[in-house]
Amino acid sequence: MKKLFLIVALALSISVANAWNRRADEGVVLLAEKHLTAEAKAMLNKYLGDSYLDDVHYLYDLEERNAASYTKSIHYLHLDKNLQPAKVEGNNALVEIESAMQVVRNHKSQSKEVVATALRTVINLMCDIHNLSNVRIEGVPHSSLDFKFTWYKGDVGKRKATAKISWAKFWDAYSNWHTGFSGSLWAEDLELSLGSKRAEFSKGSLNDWASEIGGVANGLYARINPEYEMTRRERNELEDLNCEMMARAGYRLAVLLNSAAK
Amino acid sequence: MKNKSLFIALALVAILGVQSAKAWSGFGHGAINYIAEQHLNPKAKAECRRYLQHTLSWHASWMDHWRAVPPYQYTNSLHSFTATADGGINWKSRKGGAAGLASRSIKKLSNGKYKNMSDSLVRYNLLLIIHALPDMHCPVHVSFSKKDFPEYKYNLRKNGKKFSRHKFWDASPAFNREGWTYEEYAAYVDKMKPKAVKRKIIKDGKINTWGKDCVKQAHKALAITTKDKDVAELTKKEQKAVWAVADGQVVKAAYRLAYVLNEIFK
Repeated sequence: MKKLFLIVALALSISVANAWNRRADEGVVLLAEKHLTAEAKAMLNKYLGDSYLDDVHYLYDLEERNAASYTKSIHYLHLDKNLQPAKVEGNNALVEIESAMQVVRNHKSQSKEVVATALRTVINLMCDIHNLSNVRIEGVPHSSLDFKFTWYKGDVGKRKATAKISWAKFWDAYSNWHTGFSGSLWAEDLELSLGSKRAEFSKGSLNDWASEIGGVANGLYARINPEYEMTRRERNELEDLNCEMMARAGYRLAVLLNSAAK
Repeated sequence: MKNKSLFIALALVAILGVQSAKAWSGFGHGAINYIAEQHLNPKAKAECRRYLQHTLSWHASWMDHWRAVPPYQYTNSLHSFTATADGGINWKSRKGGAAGLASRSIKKLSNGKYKNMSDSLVRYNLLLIIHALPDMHCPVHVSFSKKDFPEYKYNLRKNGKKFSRHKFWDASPAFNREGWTYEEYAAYVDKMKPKAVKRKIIKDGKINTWGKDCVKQAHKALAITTKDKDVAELTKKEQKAVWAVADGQVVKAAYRLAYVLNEIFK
């Protein structure tokens, strides 16, 4: 019986690694691209060519082809009780980003394929760690589950009906609210709405960003749990936070790539 | 027992792994606003962006998201308008519904009046216009009274099962066009020359004139998808007819929205 629980638990933990939709992630990358130095652009072009947007979901694409199932567990940002990065060996997006960035920083002495893989990994995981459904915090049990909670389709009138939604789908859904957005339209919109915060979002190191993301997620986990009933108003209002997380991901990806290309 | 447990576990894995279908969510509204934005003059575009802090298409479905949230619940009944028996806008029904809502907000902002309003009030009226004006162009957002048009109370079918006519036409711009972006859609439908737009679409620039046109198009749409028509089995000719009405109404709404916004900020 223990084995049964293990299989189900494993299935739960690996099936929920979540991302914004592909075009939203393309938007994050194109937002970053707007702020790349000439050297960073040249580096991206050298290792990934013109079609690097095809690889925004590189790890997910590998997983779909069953080419690298081990990567299924590396999309999460693990934080300890103090919201400091918990270095969980082989199970932490931050560890993977750091190690990929080491490769990118030393790109001149690495093979083209290795650098390309590292860049694709950084791009994919920088998006993932900013998706709040991927943040797991020690001492917050529901942060490690794709828990479901209740939300109201409407707060008043005939539309006041409830539905269940998973924490992962909740964040994923925002990118689907804009179903016809291309990556470039996302980038244009994010720059328009949040460009004034670029300097603020870009400050700090990878670890600082991880703690900050953890703080945001922790604030939400404090109230949003399996018993929570979210109003339609709150759901609507949280879309702004989702856009902020996308913009953070884009501006910070630019910082990482610019620093590596120096 | 061991095999049974494994089977249950695998079944659970399979069930949990199933992704829910991604519903169409405001493609038509987003496309209309995207196309409209391409036809704004630089001043109107800059002003819209200054007040809205996003692209028009990002806000396009705003009224759908907030229709059941206080204090905006009054907008819930203003996504459509009722046609008169002779094919115009019935201004007595819900104060003109979507047409009335758009019309009142346009009036509030026009003739430079927006300059004396707070930014939040300008923003709010813009949000109403960019949703309500497109809404009145959707064929199933023209309501016909049961008394005048009893034949219009019916449903469609999809794969033999009852299917909402409203749902079908709401989604019609994206019908069989899964995955299209607004840019791709615009490249396909936004082809009219400015002079033709002015002559054939804008006409006198009055909501009443546009409303009459919307009523005509609604009749046309309902003549394509008649009672119990199975939308999964439309002929190529019927599909083309659906797209002709849907795309036609999308571009009309977009050009008219651009015209309205350009006029407000001229």
